[in-house]
Amino acid sequence: MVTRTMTADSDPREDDIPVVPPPWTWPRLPERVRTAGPLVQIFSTVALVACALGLSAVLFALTGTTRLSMVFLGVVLLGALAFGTRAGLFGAVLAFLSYNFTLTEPRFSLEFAGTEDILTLTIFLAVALTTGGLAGRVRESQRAERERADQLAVLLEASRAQAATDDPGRILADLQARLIAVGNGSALVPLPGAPSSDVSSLQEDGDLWRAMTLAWGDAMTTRRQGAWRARRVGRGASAPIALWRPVSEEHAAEDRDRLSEVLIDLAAVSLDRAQLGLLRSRAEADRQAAALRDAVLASLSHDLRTPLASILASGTSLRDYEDRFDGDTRRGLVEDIVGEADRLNRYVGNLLSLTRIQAGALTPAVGAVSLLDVVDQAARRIGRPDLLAVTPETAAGPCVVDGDPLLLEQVLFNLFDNALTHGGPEVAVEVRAETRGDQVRLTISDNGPGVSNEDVGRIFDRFFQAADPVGRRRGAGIGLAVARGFVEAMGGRIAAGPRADGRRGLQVDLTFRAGGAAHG
Amino acid sequence: MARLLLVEDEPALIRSLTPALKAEDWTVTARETGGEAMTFISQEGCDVVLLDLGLPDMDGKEVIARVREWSEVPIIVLSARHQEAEKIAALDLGADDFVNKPFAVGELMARLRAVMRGRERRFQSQSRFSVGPLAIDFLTRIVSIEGQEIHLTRREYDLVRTLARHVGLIVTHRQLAASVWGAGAAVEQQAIRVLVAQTRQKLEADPARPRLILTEQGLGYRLREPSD
Repeated sequence: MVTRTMTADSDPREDDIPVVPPPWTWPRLPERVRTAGPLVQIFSTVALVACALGLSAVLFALTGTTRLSMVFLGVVLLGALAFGTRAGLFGAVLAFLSYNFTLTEPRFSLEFAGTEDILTLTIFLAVALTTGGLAGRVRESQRAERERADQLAVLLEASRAQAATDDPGRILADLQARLIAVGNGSALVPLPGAPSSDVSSLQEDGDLWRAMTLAWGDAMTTRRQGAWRARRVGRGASAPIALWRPVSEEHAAEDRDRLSEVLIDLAAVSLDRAQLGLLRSRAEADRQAAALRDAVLASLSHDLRTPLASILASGTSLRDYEDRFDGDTRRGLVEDIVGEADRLNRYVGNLLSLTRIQAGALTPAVGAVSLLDVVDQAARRIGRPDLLAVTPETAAGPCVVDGDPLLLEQVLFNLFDNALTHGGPEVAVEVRAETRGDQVRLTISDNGPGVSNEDVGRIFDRFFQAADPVGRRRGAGIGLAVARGFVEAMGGRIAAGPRADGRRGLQVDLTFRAGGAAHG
Repeated sequence: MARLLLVEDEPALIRSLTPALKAEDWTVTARETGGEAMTFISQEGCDVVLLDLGLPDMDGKEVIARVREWSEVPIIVLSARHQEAEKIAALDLGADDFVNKPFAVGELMARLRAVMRGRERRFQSQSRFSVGPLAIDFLTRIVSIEGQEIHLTRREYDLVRTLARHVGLIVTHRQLAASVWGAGAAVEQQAIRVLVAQTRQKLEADPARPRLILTEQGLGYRLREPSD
């Protein structure tokens, strides 16, 4: 047995042709003897008849009877059941001769004493031959049944194993393992350097042999023991392979050959399926990327230009009409410019944060942070502290968490902003903190419109915007994505859902590891 | 005082635009949804509509299509959408002009003036038209540049006439094709480009740097107004 290792760079088209993972095992010659060989059969049958002889000698010595033909018939039956028809017939003749030689008069000769003996012996021979033949056939059909069941099991197992994976390499590896297990020495190797379209040109034995010799060099010394065949597994760009078929006299080899073919066809179907799956998932990925790109463009277009439109309109109004405006109008325009510039700044800030999160460039400065201080900061920054009813339940200890105060403040700001944006000016936001063991949970609930069940899983996705009851486009679909990115960067968890108390509105739960004091 | 309807769902932009519009003697009414806007146009009426395409309840294009079923009120589209297809669709549906967000109020005022002049022109039946060096006598079909008569082919004349009827406003490829080649004619944009190039050779002082027939990239053409 020779083992060759195929390195990845020996196949220049590694990308499009799945390669059976090296090292592969050189084709094995038929090693599993399913049926005993002819010599074993002869010896065993002789031994059985000898046993019958011994037994009848003992019985004869004990009882003096010579009517022991059943003993011989018994061993004929045994031999036939064990080794099949040929062994049965051979055993019948042998038993007939032994019985005639030892137990019929004149004993120890093959001659007959009388017509009765001739009749008895003839009947014995006929019964022995019939029994041996029948029993052998039973034995053979049993074996065939078992083999068919085995083949079915192999196919079933192969189809199950290959259905479980979409990886062409694994499907081919599975095929190779099974071909070897089938046991007729078939082996599967990637046909080096041959595109699958060339497989037909390699059908000529000489060509294929040359190709294999070129690829495997001195390993090709076993030509007398078998032959290579080129096969293609599946259609399209799937792998060209070479199959090793040993020279064999065995009948069963034909069956196993057929099984190998079916296995290859099965693998081909699996490969095609895998390829389709790959194409489908690529198409799906493309579609998602396109949808995201559209969302990004729509968001940039709308959410950058809307505040800019207001800023530019206010600015140019002031420039062009300043002398025609009264003081209040001028102040109003200036305030709009400031407000919209601030909104733009927040949007750009969130967009940059999102980029940093995506690029993995976010390195939070995690330390002990007082949650309530941060809630306070964020509430003041959003300019509507009156809307926030903070009800800390801090009996279990101070709400100190492991986090980055700046990121945490931005998370809360974005959550408050989201509640105010979607809930309108009348919205009430409630913040509750709770320490549980080594975890602190912060719950932010509002009494706004809430989120539908189908949207609740997506509100933290980039550029996702829930359908508003009036279809109004609000927010850029960035704030909550940034919130999630920040929370996860700090090792926390964020989840949203309907309010736990059953009232209308959205509830967002933030969970952080208790920090600082809680650790002692 | 002329009445202007501003259809826009961004309160900040309404606040920003209102003072300058008032200073230009417009009576400004703001509506946030397409439905409200259509109700206002049908019940109160107005002289011009500034329409945002991204409305909360419906696409602004739908507002244009429905208003055009019964009203010829000039519509100027305001939109942050920069997709060419959107603009063309809005113009083909009957919008009179287009202002991209963000814009300076000066640009918006110029568009408003052009639209209102075009409206006046449509109600007057003047047989003579002139802008800058270009003069057209619709009665005799004589086109002249600085008093010099220019010979135009029939299609060239139809092109100039169509642009002149919408002076200062954008005329889409499709509108040009319909008025020059006839409604329903299948005309390649290339054919329109060739026709415009020929006409420029005859009318423009420097055809490579046109001063009269301006290209609106991807949309159509616009006959320049002297005040622009």
